[in-house]
Amino acid sequence: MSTNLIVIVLILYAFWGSILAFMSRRELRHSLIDYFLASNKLHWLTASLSYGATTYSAFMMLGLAGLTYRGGVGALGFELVYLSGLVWAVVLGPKIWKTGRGNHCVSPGEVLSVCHGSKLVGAFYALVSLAFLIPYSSVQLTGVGYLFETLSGGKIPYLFGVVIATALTFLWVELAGLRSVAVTDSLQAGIMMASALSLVFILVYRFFGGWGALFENIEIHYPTWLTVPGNGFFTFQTFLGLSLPWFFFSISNPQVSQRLLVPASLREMRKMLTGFLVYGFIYTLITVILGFSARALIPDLKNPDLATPTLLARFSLPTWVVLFSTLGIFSAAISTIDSILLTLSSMFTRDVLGTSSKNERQKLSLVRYVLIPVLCLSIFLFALARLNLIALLSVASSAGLIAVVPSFVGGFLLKRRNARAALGSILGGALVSFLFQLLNLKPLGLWPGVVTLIISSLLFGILSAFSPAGKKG
Amino acid sequence: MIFWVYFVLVFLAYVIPFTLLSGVTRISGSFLFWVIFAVLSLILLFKMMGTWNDEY
Repeated sequence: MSTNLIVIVLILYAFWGSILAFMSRRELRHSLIDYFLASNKLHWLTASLSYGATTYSAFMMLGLAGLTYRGGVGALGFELVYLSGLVWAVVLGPKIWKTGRGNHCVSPGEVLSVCHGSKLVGAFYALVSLAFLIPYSSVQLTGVGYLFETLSGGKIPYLFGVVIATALTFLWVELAGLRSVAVTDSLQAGIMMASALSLVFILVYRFFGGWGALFENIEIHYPTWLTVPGNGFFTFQTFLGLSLPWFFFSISNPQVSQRLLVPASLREMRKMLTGFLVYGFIYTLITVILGFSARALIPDLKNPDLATPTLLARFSLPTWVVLFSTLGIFSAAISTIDSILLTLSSMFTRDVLGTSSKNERQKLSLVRYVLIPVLCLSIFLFALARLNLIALLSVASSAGLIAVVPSFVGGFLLKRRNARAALGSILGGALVSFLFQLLNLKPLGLWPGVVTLIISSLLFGILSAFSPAGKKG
Repeated sequence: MIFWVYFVLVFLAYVIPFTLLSGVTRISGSFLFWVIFAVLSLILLFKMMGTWNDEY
């Protein structure tokens, strides 16, 4: 692939994305609720596409395709279990939305603070989110760096992709907050879906002769890839360890739970979630089929994360498909990082610094000119470490953030509103997650995310039962 | 009611592929099962959201 072509396409993409982001500034009001929630005025389609682009990162085309390549159909089950986890957004969404609207909440941490009656809850949620989402964001940059390096045969250095992705992320967040993020996300969600569809259709029809032939190829040559545990990768413990944290993704990850505060009404929220569910189902199937295609076409890969880039680089695909797919992966990475940065800065401003609206303009300046640049720099520096574990690091962040789930479910669904229980479970769970992941501990074969959920649920239950501050709300 | 049916479905999504379908090395095995599971989940989620109204 010509290096010049890649650079030209990147420039065009950056130009049009930036035009959209600049145009979205016209609506910008100088308030935190506008910067972080677009004053609850996003069109449902924009909100839906942005939800999809935020949720689906470079992990899909690189990590999930790689997981399918390595372990087979278990990757499909894992990702569809994630999609079914939207039940938490459906069950808790209206309660979170109502609490947020009634109390002028901007961040999901504030919602949790209101629910449990203590600002400390939101503050600790913010700190835990910072600790686990910075590595997750940097993994997106790592994916972009590898992609350009592999596609250009090493001519485009890893650092180039990382720098471009960081710069665009910064620009598209800083310009108009959620307004610029959502509008560029919508463009990117379209690119992600269209590029993945065109790549898979061309691969399947050009190299296999159709869907039936691809599936027949897998059934004949890689039969164990169609079962679990199959070739041994997807043991039940691995499947549970990967999927359980993501089953709770829609409430544990603040960059997506914050989107439940955005719609103007529940009708709008229903449209947003419905659109996302359809988008997610199609995108998941396409990505998994991409992984199966890679398994059949390039069986000798040492690093499964490189399955998609290798398909793009090694096979005689039309140039526009290669460039479009590259852009799709790049888009998936940027659209996830920018939403995370926006959410983290909202949590830091509202949950850590406090909710006083006296210095609203000063706080907004702090967000735009200090927090967002510092967060960008942090993920950039983290990405320079070149951690070669896209899928596992992506799951690790959800394994840590799962510590917040008992506080959401306990507070909103079981109506056990108790600040001590929430604080204990968030802190205790996050610490357990961090230690278990650091030391690579898997007691009884249970992955850190599963252990974290068990420990944080126990802590929440015990503390809310015995704490004098506990009450049934 | 739908909520509990939903969780039975999720439970089956964990159990069936590792037991009944663990020996079915065809696309009509776990692959098809998980796709049907996802479609049913989506239908149930749409039904759950259908009960929302703005006076919530």
